[in-house]
Amino acid sequence: MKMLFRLCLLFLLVSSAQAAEYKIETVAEGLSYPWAIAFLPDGDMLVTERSGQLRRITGGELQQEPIGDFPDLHVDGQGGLLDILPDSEFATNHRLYLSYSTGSKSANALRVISARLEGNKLGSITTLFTASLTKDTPHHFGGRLAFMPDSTLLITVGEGFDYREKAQSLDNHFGKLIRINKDGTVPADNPFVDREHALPEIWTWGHRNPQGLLVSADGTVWLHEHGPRGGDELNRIEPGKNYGWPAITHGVDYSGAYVSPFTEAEGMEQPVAYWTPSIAPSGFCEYQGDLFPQWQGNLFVAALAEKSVRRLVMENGKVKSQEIMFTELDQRIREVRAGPDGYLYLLTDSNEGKMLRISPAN
Amino acid sequence: MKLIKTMLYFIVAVLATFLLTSIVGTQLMLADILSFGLVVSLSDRVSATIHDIAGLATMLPILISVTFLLAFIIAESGRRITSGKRIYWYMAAGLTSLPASLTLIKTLMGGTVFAAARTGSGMLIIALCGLFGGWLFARLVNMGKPE
Repeated sequence: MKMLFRLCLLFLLVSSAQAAEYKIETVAEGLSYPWAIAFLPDGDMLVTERSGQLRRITGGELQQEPIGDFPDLHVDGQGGLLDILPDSEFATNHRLYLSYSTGSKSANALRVISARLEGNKLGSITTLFTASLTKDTPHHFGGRLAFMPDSTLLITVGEGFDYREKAQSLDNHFGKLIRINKDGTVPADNPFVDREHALPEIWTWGHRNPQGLLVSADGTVWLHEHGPRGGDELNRIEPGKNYGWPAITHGVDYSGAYVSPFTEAEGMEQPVAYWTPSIAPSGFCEYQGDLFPQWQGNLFVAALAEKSVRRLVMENGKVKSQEIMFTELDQRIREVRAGPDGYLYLLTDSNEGKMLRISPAN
Repeated sequence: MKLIKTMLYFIVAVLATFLLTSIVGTQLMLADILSFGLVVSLSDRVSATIHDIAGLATMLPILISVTFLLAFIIAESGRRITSGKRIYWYMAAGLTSLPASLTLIKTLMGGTVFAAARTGSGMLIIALCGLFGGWLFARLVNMGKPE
């Protein structure tokens, strides 16, 4: 009985310490399926809405007028306006990089453009990349963007749901991580530039639907991807490697049947971690701010199905421990980003989506 | 008594079609795995087949039951109007109904729920499983009675 009392007391103390760690404030609401955040040097923020609008937040106020139009934008299912990334020299060139789905219901694909932000408009729009092949499903576009330290652009492309086998073939972009230069050309040191019947933009292959991409402060490239029923993966990315989907997987198909009976194979990479049952990871960041010193260097993974954010404590390239956070919101979390101001920002996934700011409780 | 017998025959036809479809689906999946250069042993094949029968045991029989029920009602109505042979009507119903319902689900949901149906050849094989189900049901119903 005494032991039980002590355990209860300990639980209460831990709970109250965790509860006091942060507070959650709403920055913006009424967002239509917000997908990604970009922080601009002047303190403004841009938010993409999957339904096709780019919104600006100035001085903590969501501006009503959306920015720009997107050529041949196709909004359907999981497709629409997806990620956004400001150029590293945005302060001088005002250039943004955006991903979205383009085409039609019967023939759609992921596209990446660059555009100059001119007031409330987008100018000098250039198409940098359009995934080949087209597909007739509104699912699994991927669409996350990240810059490498050498200023090349990484792009995740999903395998289109009904086209999973294409992820194991280098003659198409489905289920691949792409690397291009900022002008859309192919870097000469990409791993498959000299291989016959391989598309030169491919950097890694064997992915399912990667919706988390991160180049960490030490230059490591991390990617997470949705599994089917189970088998969501956290992968440490190295160029030219095959990450196995659908030849190997820790998940099964939604129907209950195998996608593959194998979880490992020679020449195919194992995930650093996987989640079964699925948490549906989307959105990814590394915390390098000052406001939460205890989170320094931790990776944060937004989770749609689990309605949480996973805080990953890393050690020697492995996940040392995980904390499931923000479940009190009871919201699907689409995106988690560490702002330059040291706050953590979340986007909730709904037609009445919100941008939330996580700050220290004190 | 006749209704109970017909229901029993229907369940037998659904279960036989389910088993056949599930087994075929696993072999198609393993053919893809082989094409990636992996080695699939006989024991891998047997255990994957058993796994998929168990894994699909909720979704697929329900899909086949609903599909066959509608298809066989239409087939029986057609047979009565045209006085054609029952077995041909039910085989035609079995052949067409599974592709029709899988296509309808893809149209509504945007994706294919049963992976084997993603390709034309896979869909054809599933259609043939349906044809077998229709044939089996008609044979069972016809047992011991003149056409």
